[in-house]
Amino acid sequence: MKNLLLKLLLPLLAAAAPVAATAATQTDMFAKPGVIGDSLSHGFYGATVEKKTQDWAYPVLVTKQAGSSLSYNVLEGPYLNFEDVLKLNCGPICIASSVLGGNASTVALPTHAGITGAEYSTVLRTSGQCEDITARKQERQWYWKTWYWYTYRWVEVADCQTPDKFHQFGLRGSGTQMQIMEKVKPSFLFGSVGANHVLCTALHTSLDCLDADRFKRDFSETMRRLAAMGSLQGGVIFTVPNVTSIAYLEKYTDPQNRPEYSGLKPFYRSSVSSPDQVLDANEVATIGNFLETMNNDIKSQGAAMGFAVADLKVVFDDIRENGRPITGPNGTAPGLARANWPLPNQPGLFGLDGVHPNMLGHAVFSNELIKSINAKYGYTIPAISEYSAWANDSLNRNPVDLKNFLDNNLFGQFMSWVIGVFA
Amino acid sequence: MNKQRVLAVGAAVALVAVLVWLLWDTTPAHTAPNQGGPTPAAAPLVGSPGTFFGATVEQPQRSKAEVAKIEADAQSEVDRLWPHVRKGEPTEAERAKVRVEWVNFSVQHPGNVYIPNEFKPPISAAEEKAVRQQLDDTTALAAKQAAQKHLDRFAQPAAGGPAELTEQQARDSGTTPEQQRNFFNYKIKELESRIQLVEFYLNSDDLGASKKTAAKKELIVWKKELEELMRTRAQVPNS
Repeated sequence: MKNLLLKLLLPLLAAAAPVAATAATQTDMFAKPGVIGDSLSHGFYGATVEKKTQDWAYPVLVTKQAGSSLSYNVLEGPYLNFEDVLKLNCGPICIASSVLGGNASTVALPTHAGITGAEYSTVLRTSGQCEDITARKQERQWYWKTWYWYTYRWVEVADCQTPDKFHQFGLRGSGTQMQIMEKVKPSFLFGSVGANHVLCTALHTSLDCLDADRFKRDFSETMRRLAAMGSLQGGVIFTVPNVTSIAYLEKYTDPQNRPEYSGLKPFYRSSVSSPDQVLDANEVATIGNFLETMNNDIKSQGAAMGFAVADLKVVFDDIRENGRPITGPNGTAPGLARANWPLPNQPGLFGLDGVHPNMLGHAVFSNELIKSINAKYGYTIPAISEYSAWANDSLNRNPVDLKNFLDNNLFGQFMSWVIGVFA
Repeated sequence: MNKQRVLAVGAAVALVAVLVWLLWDTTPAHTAPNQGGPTPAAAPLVGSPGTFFGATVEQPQRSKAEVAKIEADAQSEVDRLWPHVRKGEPTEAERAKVRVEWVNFSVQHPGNVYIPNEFKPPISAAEEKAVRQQLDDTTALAAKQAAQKHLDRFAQPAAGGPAELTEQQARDSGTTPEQQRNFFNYKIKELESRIQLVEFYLNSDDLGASKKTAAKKELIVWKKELEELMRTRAQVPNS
């Protein structure tokens, strides 16, 4: 009798409790999601942004899984999808069109404002029309001083330099990422724009771009303005993975064992002729310390904002070490996905630049954020099938080993473009 | 305390008491896993919560109907999350069209860097070495430039602009004429190639009016940039 009652009651209670406690809240929370972000949220994929890559980017996936949607300006470039070029899916006309760039479709006010190359500093300053909306310059202003004297005076005016094409086509006339959020007034925010504050070290093999004060100042200011909107009920933010262990960098030992010539070099370099071309052990340690401070800041400010905080640094370290198991619904297992671009019989989470996730990588990324959101707010947002993502990811299905294309003349421009975008 | 509140508290206490009674008497025998065989695992459905958050489990045998349902759910998830998948890979006809475009283009511009290796004669080992060296030199300078731009991007304007760099200082810091020439050669070749591509595009029937305007505007900018690169390359000393 007791068992019967227990069997009848427990499922009812289990089903009723989360609904009563969270179902309405989840709907309210995702009533109007908003995104600030960088190339990860924008869907940059070796080496462009286009509809399919924007559709598979993590904020779009997580929002769809939560039963809501985002709006964004759809890009068709600038630059090119290297995978499509190497697979001969994109010919000279397709490349020319993509290199020029443009919009496939636009919206009046995007709710997803994440832009390739952005960091917290550009969230505050770069619009679709001006690289820095706070920049000022002196300009001559001609006027009649009196009836007989036409002269000029120096006045301070906005110094509006045209921004890069990702900002132009992504934000258009809607303002900066921050201004867009202030107009949208989202209920839930994807708020991660930290990666480019440190990714530049890997791409430039240099510490010159590390600026802890600027990160702290602009991250705090972004959070302050987001909180001041008064509309946010929650959000998600993640720690920045270790940029020195991405596929873009590989170990290199100088044949003469000079320590400043040994360390991590870009995967495509055939040799190292200057210490500038590697991150040596001291530099890697400095980047590690910077990351730790930065991630602690992200964790504490994220928690103070009431956001779910996903520790993607830990997740990425684990994937780097152990891989990510991909298992199909009928038990088929293509194997462990690695933190690299896919190879034959070797699933991979990254695209051909060795920096950005592919379609499978974004699904994995999304699931980690969903896990974090569910844990923080008690929701039951369903996970995405990583197997389906793997099975339908063109690069995993038909891998390209980039190292076989290093003698391709286009490769230099492909890498120079990637490096320049994240300058 | 009003009557309603008393009733609510009473009901809650009663519910807790019933639950405690029910749970207290549940012996381990009722919840212990089956002896002598694997624990039956719930079939993880594609896209359901927890599918990939736990350890991978042995999959049970499924009926045809169950498999069909799982496949239908998976397809529906793919359609919803990744709409481009439905479009499929390019058809043979589309691929053939791309090949024809490349053949036509490579006849007109055989040295263009955008032409895939398939449409170019094979290169010798010495040529391959030169390409790799050019890749090294070009990307090293691209990284230096990017680092410099990043540094100056948020710098306060300084009176008189950045400090002047003398040729000797540049040489002392490792800059060589060979590396710079290699860099400029590649940049010029790439920019010429890009211009050829866009001019080829302009001559095709595949672009609308707005794209045509954007293309023409961009060509003006690129041609100016090309002139500047050529002028600068001419200044590189022989040694």
